[in-house]
Amino acid sequence: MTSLLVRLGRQTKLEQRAFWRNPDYAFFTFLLPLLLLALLGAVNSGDEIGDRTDINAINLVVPGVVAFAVMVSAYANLASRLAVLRADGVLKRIRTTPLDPRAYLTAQLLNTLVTTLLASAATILLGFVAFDVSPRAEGVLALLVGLVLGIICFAALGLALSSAISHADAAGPITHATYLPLALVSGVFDPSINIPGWLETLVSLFPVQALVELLVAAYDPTADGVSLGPVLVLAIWGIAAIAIAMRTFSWVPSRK
Amino acid sequence: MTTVVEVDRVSKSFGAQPVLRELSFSIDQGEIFCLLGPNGAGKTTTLEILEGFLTPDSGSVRVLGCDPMTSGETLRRRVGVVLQESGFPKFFRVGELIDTWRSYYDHPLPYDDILDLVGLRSDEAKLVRKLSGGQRRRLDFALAVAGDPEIIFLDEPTTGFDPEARARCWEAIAGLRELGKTILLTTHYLDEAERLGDRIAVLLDGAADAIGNTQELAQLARIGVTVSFQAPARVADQLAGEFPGLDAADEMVEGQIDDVRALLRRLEMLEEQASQRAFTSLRVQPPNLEQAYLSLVGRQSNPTEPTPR
Repeated sequence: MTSLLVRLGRQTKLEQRAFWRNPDYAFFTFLLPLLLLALLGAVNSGDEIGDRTDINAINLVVPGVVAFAVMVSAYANLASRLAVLRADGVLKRIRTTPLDPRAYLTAQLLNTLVTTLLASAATILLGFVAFDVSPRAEGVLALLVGLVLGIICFAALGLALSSAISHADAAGPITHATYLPLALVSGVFDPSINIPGWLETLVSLFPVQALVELLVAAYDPTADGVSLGPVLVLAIWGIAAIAIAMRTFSWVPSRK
Repeated sequence: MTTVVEVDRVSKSFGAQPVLRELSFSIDQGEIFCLLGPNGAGKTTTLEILEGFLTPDSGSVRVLGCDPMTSGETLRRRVGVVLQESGFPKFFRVGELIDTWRSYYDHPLPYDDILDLVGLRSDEAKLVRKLSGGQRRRLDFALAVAGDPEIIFLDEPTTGFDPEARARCWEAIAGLRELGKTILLTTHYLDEAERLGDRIAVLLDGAADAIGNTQELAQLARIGVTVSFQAPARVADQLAGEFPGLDAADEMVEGQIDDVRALLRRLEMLEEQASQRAFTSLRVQPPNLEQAYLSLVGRQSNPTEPTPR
């Protein structure tokens, strides 16, 4: 057990070091949510939400953009990175060593967790500095639960999705098509979006909505804090994704 | 001799395309065994089966007494692999990567020994993405031997190299031999096989019917010894008539024969009868791998691409 933890720590540290040595990858991972928040904030920071007087739209835009940062960094980036590592034969090379494949993949998830937490923290910080919006003291637990559970869930989904990308150059289209539409209807960019009831019900079954709900709870004074529904949705999707990844994850480049 | 790799009547198809047909061979401990064959002959497929990446359709495979498909981790501790093409995590440094790989094994080779073996001492601090093709190949070697494996699989280790890079690579392989490693190497270069291989299996159409050292392959290919000498026209014609492998033209006799001694006895006899020299400038050349290989390949109906030399 100790040796496994040491192994995970060591492997994660290496992956982190490699992440920061790839300046484009690191820079744009952080730039995307920050730029998005700056733009959305500039456009509708003072807008009212319905007839509410306690908060402005920006209070709900910040958690939406944080959720988006989680999806991009943990889900889309991890899925395409794994697809590239597979196509380049890096995963195959790893598979010729006695390293436990679960340890390698867990280190990839931990590396993603660290990177994504940092990108989320930067976004939250920008919300505070530029728009004077910060999570409520009572909402910190919801924020932490939402972030950690959300990142692990989306990284697991990225891991599962990566095996469906048989050629690395299809990674962009495949990842974007699977999360962008959901992000839109889940109110990531526009918290006051109105969608029909049946769609609302459908969307609430997906992890994007669940993540947004938990993060919004950290910022919205009328929210209850950590509610069970979204936690369950994220947990179920995360566990299902890991189960699928364990069955379908491939270490060798596609022969197709 | 202990047998460390055993391939017994292995067949493998991809879809309707048969790649291996009842392939059999075995490798003894400490030898360099060469799988020689044109592209598409099934070399990589054979290695991938031995490495546990592919399951054979029929037949059986044993590496160090284990089935590579089922004894994964145990076997991977004892086997080093240089894949034909495989990338590196590009933002690691050479030294970091070697050290990381060493950490995957219980009894790795000392770090410095690895650097010296592959000649990457001066590139230790370089990022992997900055390495040249030849340096990357040597890093492939470094990672393959990091765990001090008993067997090393090398899939076309020098394909696409310039002569200097090939020479360095061959040095590294010779270094591995000195360490007592068993090596299975695939190549389509004849000189590489002839220079490195203790035994060579000519893989054609998914089967290896000819296995042995150069001499044994020549025998299997029924390639004789190449001889040439000058003789008076009358003697030359007479000999060409007696030995089917020989041709005579302008007092010059050339050709391939199986039994050099019989020719020499005959020449001596002719000298005694005529009391004068029956021949001059005799040259005798043992068969080489190229002749044997081309003859073996030529017997196959399938066209094969020319082998660079």
